[in-house]
Amino acid sequence: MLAYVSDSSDRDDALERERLLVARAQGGDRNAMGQLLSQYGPPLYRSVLLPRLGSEAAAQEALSEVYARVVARIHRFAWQGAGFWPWLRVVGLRVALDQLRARRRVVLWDTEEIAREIDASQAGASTDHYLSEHGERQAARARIEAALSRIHPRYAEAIRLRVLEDRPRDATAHALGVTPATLDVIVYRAVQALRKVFSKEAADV
Amino acid sequence: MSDEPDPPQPEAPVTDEETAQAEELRARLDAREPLVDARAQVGPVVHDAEWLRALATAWSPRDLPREAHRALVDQALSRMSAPRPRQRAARAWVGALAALAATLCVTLWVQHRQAPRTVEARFLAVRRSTQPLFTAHFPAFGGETARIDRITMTRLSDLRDNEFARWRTR
Repeated sequence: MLAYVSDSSDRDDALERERLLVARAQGGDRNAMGQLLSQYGPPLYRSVLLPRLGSEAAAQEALSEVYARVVARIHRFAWQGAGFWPWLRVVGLRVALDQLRARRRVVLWDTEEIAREIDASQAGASTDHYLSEHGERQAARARIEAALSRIHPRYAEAIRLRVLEDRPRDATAHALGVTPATLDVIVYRAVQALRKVFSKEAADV
Repeated sequence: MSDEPDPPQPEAPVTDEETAQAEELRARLDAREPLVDARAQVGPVVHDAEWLRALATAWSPRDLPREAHRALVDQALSRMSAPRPRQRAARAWVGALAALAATLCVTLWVQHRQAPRTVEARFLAVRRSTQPLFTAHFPAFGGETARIDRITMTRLSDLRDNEFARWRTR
């Protein structure tokens, strides 16, 4: 199974073990399939599904659908030396895309953006899910930071403290030097400003 | 949304409507209630709360609880069809039976082809002299046609019996 290995020979060994595991899963070995899902499901949930779908319930529903598709389509997977993760990630992105298209509301990621991600992933993606997960998290944070930089600094600070850091209302109000009631209004206005930035980005892409 | 006006600056006066919506947003954030159905129509403040939670989730995604993940894996594995090795074994059995049937067919066909020869050996008329057909002396000249006819009729009878024997109609 692929682990975070720095030595290339270790990595080759890990890839070979994973190839055998995939072959067993394709042969109907439930234990092998269970090992693959247990290894890669949690990072897929954490780095691909949850950030794009925005809620734990939606991400769990999506992960269940991903697993169903993997079980049904594992025989279509052709080993290309890149490991199981890139294929699983594309399946996850497709499920997320389907869910977002069925929604009436957009969260953070526009469906067109995810469609482009799928195309990019099929062209070539990191084979190491640790690196991929790190990259996903960095990308999500960079995206949010970029949006925060485009709104009023006071709004951005309110969002950082109250939402991203999940600080209590009173502590956040104290940090900003306002009353809790005023903080509520600042947060409310900050949301409007930030959503406007995200919508404009999606429209511009 | 990009067509909407820019939100007011922090120092702008607060309207009553803003105050009410800000209070509702705070209550929804503090309540940490499960999100409503993503396909449902919701009010703008509910959407704001949902959006803020999505923002926080993207910033710091949490792990899926181990038990919840185990349940999802078990559910997926229960959908797997019977293990392929068994399917292969079944296919091997079917193949073996088909081969056996083919062998039997060939054997029966060969036996069928050989069967007339067995009949021929056991039941067919053997070659013999024409002498037993003529017990009495016949003249040196005359009566040849009658004798040839007799031989012909006898051999035709032998030939007919042989054919019947080959066809297993006897």
